[in-house]
Amino acid sequence: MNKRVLFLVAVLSLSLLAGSFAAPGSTSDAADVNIDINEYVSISPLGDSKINFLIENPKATDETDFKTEMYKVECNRQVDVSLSPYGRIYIGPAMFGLEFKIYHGGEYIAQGDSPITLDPGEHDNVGIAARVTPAPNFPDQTQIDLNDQPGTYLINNAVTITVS
Amino acid sequence: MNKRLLFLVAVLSLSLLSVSLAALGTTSTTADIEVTIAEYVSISVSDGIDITVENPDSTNAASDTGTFTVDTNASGKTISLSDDISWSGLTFSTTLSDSSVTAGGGDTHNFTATVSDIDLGDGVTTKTGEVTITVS
Repeated sequence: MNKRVLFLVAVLSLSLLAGSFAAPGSTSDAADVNIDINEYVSISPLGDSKINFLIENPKATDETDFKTEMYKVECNRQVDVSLSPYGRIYIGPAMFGLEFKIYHGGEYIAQGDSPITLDPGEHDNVGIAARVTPAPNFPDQTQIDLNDQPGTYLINNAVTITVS
Repeated sequence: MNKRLLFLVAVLSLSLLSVSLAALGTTSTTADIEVTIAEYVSISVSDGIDITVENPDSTNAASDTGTFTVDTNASGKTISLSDDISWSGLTFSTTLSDSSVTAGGGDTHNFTATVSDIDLGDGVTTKTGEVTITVS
């Protein structure tokens, strides 16, 4: 009889022990997660990337008003906007100059003014502003006048806008 | 030796990678500029024609010279004169000193108007009219 009791006790103990061994079957571990978001900077024209001027009266016109070509800037970090050339250049064969400024939010920003900085996001209020002006550094015929033959003067890639 | 070569290749690759990554941070685009200068022609008459005949008995013809300036940026233009003057008993004519135009502005020209066939039968009168100067 004692042996039977002993046997039952032994069987019961082994069953409980097996149950306790079942609990460690649920376990966990940690895996590293790494996400890299690349730097993204984009500028794209909202128009045809061309600024047109019509000088109807070359005798009376020394300079024109600014005309603007707008761009969309998309970036995921703070960026600076710059122009090259940034100021005035001489254009031939007609003798006149072009002046460039950055257009931003309704303002024309000239060289030497506060730099243009854009926060991360999408911006469609940035542009290149240009106007016809007297050519710099030329003592004679520095502006559009009657010595400039009628015609169309196209300057390809006259100005570069850079986002960096 | 192979390990050294491998190391150099690795360093070079990393350098190129860093350069290409740096370039991603800047982007740019350009704009064209087109300036159209229109043809400009302007005529300014500075001195018109004014003829006074003091003695129509002894004066068969009288003339006066007018002056005008052409401002243009176009080359190859020429000047012509015309009028619709038709005065009874009188003959009116015009001549131009030079019909060619020089571009650049300030090109001054003279023209002469002549009235002929004047006699006492014309009476005491004042005649007016217009001479048209055309640059084309």
